[in-house]
Amino acid sequence: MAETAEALVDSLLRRLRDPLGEAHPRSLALDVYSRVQVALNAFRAYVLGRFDLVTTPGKSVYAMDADIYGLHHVSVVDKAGLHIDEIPMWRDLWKLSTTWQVDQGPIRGWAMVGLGLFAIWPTPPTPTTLTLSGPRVTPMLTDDDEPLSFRREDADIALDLANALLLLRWRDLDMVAELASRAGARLSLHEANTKQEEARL
Amino acid sequence: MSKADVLQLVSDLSAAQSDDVEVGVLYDEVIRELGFYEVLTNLERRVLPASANGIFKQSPSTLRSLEIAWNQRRLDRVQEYTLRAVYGATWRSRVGDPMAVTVWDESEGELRLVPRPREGGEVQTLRTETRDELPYWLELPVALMVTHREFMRESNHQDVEFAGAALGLAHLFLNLVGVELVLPPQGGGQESAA
Repeated sequence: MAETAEALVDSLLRRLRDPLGEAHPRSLALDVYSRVQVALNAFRAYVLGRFDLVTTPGKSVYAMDADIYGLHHVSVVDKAGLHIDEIPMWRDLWKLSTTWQVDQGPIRGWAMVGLGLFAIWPTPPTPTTLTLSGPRVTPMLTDDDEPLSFRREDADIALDLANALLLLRWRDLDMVAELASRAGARLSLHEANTKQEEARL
Repeated sequence: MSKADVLQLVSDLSAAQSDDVEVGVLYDEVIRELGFYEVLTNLERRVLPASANGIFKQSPSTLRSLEIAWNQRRLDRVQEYTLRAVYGATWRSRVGDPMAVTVWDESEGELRLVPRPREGGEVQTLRTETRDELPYWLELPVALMVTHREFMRESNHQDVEFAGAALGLAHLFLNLVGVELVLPPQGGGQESAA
């Protein structure tokens, strides 16, 4: 059974030496934790989401908030089990083809245009299903009974950061700096490990 | 998620010591500043009739045009003095397939296709934009940036140390959600410099 938000908020309030939630209302602790969780997941991708996008002939650009739901950004694209390459710099689309927006054919690449748009090149002439994967936008927790998106052991950095935000409120700035620095160091370490792993592969 | 949610979050993070009116203004400032980065991107399409003479006005929500295309073909952005140098004083009367776009009326936010198209067509603009409805994942970093400004400005609740701590956290969370705090290598500057 998935762990619920209740134990996590209890833990957060204990860290704040406010187990009854008198200085830090439970609803605020839950709200702050939810926001930290969604930001952390965008970076670390603890919880991945998947979305099947059916392409529209002639349409090469899709809005993340209108056409693709639930993903912070796209990190992997498959078409019927085949991996489609990412074009890391979206401006390179113009170098691949000056008419990339209207080019038709089997899809060869995709790019994120900032954080709001997902672009494909070329556009398949018939509706085609692409499977997009990426960090999920974890839902806002509004109730103690809701299941957590992160596993409990992954929630530790999120707890540190939520703790820092709630202490900011009470101007405990030394502790805020300490917690932010600790979380930042752990995140950098994770990034370094990921790069090392990528290099090894 | 709305601007009101972000303003509420600023109030929560500052233990209700912020000035609600000022915070609303600072929110707009922060969103404009985010326009320098490719965060809130969108694609705007508009049909331009031949009678428009290649002149079009950008939406008020546009902060920065990343790319502009005419009938799906990318246009170069060119300053008026370059057009004069290349085509001479008659550049405005040239008619043909648009190859470039230039600022026509800066105060009105109008741009002009060069050469002027013979027929109507579609202008597509990849742009950054202002929004009252932010994605949920962006609310916290924006709230922290607003908190920083609110407590940095001169007021009866100014608190520079608190503001600095909020900025540090804002940078951390912006990085987490994928906003790199460096100016983009090309096309920098507000839309008036298109």
